[in-house]
Amino acid sequence: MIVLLSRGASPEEVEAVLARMRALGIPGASLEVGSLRLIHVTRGRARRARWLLSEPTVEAIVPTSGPRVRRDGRRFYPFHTLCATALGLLLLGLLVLLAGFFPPGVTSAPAAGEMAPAPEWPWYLAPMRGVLALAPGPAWVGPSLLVALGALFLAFPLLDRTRGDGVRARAPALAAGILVMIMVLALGIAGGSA
Amino acid sequence: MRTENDHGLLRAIGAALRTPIGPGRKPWLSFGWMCVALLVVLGLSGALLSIYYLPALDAASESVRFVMRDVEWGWLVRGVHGWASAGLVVCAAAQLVRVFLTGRYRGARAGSWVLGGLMLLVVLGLAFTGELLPWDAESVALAGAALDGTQAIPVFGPPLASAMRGGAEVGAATLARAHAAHTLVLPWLAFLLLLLELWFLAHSRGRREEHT
Repeated sequence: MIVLLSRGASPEEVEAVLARMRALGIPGASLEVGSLRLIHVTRGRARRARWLLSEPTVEAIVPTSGPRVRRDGRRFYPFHTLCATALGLLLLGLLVLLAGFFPPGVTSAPAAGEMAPAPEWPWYLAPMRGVLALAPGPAWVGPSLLVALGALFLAFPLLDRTRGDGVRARAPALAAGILVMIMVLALGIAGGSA
Repeated sequence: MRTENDHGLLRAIGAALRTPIGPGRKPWLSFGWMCVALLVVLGLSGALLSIYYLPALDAASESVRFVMRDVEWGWLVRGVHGWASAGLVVCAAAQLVRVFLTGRYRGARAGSWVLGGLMLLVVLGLAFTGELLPWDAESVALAGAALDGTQAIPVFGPPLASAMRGGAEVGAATLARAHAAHTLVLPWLAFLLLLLELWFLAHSRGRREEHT
């Protein structure tokens, strides 16, 4: 159960609601997300929280368990919003760690008349480099092949004629797709070493 | 008298936020949500970097070095931007693989697959144009090689390469175009594709509920 307080509720008002909750035997933990104040009922008989609706600071009570939640699932706001925010913050923490341990570099600008070095292609373009490196014949074959493969990829739902959701029913499409994935990996390795 | 609460769009958003989204579902535990989170990080860190970045031939490389050396926490913001960009490429590709393996690209969801594919292309474009912005020796060589590849595509390759190059040779116009693509065209395209994807998701979900 999550108790949603009105925006900009003061700490005293939050404390008053928490005190009322303790008196009702449903202790909770206060959360602050921007200007939003929430109280998560941590234990006790959560049904008693409906008495809190008489408090002027309490805006709504959102059940996070019980028959309705088991049948229909939880609402995006506030339950999933909190989870999504928490995961976003974790992701940001991971990025900060990566940036701290592996910071990007920068070299100097080329001087006038200086020969440009052989470019070091980014890793995510390795499969495309693989296609260009392995394509036979004139120079236009490789790029044209890339465009054709891209169009085939986007049109895949139109080409897939399988019916049903089971693995057996989708076997031809799955096999083709997995083959393409293996090819992309192989091309990536070929492109990385080209 | 109409109030803010009567506004159709706000009411629709409010209703969507209040609608339960199915028992046991965890929409935030998906590559799609991670893509959205990474796009937000990229937008914010990119906005901070753009305060110091100068898209001029003789100043671009120096402005990036200034961010790395003299701006407080500048190296960290640039690092976060770079890693978020790499993460976005991985998450966008992983989301497409997941959609493929679960078969959620057929019927009403075909449009969503096409949008996902276009989003991957936009993400690759964003990452690649970002590589060019420091305009160091490596970026110049990369821009030249990429433009040679584009030039080789029959029919629409030469005009496309000419439009991207902005002149006879790789130079100031190329950098200006890469900067415009990285900071204006592609981010807005990504935002538009994201909105369309959400609309497709809501639309296909509504249709599934009508059938049950």
